[in-house]
Amino acid sequence: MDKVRIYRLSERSITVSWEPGIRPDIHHQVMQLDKRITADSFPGWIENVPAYHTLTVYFDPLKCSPDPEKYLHTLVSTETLSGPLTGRTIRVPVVYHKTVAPDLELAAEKLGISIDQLIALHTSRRYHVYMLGFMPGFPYLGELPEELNLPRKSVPAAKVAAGTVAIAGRQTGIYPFDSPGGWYAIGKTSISLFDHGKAYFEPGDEVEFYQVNQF
Amino acid sequence: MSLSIIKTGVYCSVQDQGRWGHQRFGVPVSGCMDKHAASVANILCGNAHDLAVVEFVMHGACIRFETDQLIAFSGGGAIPVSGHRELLLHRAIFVPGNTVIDLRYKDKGCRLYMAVAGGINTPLVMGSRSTYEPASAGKRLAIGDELPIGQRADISQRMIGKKVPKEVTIAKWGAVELLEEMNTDCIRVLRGAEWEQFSEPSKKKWLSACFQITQASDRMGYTLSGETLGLADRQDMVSTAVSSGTVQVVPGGSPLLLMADAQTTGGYPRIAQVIDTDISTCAQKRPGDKIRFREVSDAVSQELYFSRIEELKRLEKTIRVKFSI
Repeated sequence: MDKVRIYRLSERSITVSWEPGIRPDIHHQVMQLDKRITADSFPGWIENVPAYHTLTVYFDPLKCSPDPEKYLHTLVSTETLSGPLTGRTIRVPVVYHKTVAPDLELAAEKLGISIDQLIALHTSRRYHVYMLGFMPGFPYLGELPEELNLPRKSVPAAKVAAGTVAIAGRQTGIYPFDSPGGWYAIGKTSISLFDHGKAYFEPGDEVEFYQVNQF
Repeated sequence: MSLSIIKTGVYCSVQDQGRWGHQRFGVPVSGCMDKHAASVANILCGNAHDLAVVEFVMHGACIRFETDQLIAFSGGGAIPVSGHRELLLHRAIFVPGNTVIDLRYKDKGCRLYMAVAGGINTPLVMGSRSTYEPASAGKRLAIGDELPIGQRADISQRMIGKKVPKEVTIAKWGAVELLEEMNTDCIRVLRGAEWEQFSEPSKKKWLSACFQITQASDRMGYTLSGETLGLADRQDMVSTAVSSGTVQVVPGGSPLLLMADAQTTGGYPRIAQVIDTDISTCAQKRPGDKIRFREVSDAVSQELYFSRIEELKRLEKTIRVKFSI
């Protein structure tokens, strides 16, 4: 397989990287390799971290045999990483209103569309969970319609409330906890994204937003 | 069997060797910033190297032991004192019940680790006792907190001996030589994943200039000042996994060295990866300290990784032989 790069991130992790980008077909490969390693891991394996176009494999170097780098090279070059993946589809209720979404009006204004159009566009498609990161349970969802593409705020908000649905670039996400944040807050959900050590979403899930008037 | 926190100093928390297995859900590994020092302290009082310890940032904390305990301090940033007596680092120390230990000012180092025979036995959260408040895993220690201690191993009992001392007693043997390297300001690095994309002047500056650890530094990462770095051509990067030791260059050109509470993914170009062995050295640096970086090969970093584990095993073995277990 060309265009696959395998590099050491640290003494205890190796990253398999496909062509950089946000693409469902590439992420499919990432999740296939993730599934393959999880189902039949090697001695010393600890965990995988899927991202947009990379899978990072963590291990305990003391317990590793064979050499994980060689193992991953062999796996990636000899196995066909295809086949169905069974991600769940999760529907997420969102209140799109300025009282809970401080940037809703500003985002619509910057995009040159009405708030109703913004809501219609945001709820118009199904999003893919490419990865969780930034903070426990935060899902990176893509790909946002081109009409909603806004660069990150130049000055991040000091506090974004837990449950805030936000957009930036071609991505949308949900803040699991109160935190500073540079994305535009356009809605809010009552779903608890990280609770008792469990994340609500997993990489590979599909997400649909739908509008509700109140929680 | 417990100890209580009378004063906390700048910040203190319970940490172990990290919370593994949850990074795909965005949960950082956390754990001790200086994992080596914590391992040494544990081994010195007869514990498995990975039990939970208390991590103190700088001086100012005060601890009271309600019952007899065998403990060990390692790391830096403070001097433990009982009454007027300075307690040595890197030694097993017996403390009888009702002993109070203060952490006094020290001009070097940043994080002191206190291991207690039996280990700090706070509840496991996602398989670890490491404090990471955003995921509701433990809480920073506060005045009045009481910490439960686990069951002492036989070897710790033998270290105390049959005749239990009436006063604070410091072991005559220790492991000082294992921790001297933390005094260096030279940090060894591997090339980061985006190394090739940095401009030539940036690459040169990175490996020759001195960088200062700024006040914007915490358990998540250190922001470094001194030189600004940049890519040869502006490129947008898509987020991918990062790890403690990863050095990202943030917009504006400052290097950000990720530490124990590093987020699991990042979207800034990575110029370097601090070798695992030297992350402990970085953990003992405080805001204002200066460091510089030197490149080593993958092979060297792995050799150092294994030799450090060997050192710990030797220390463990020496102690087992000494107390004939």
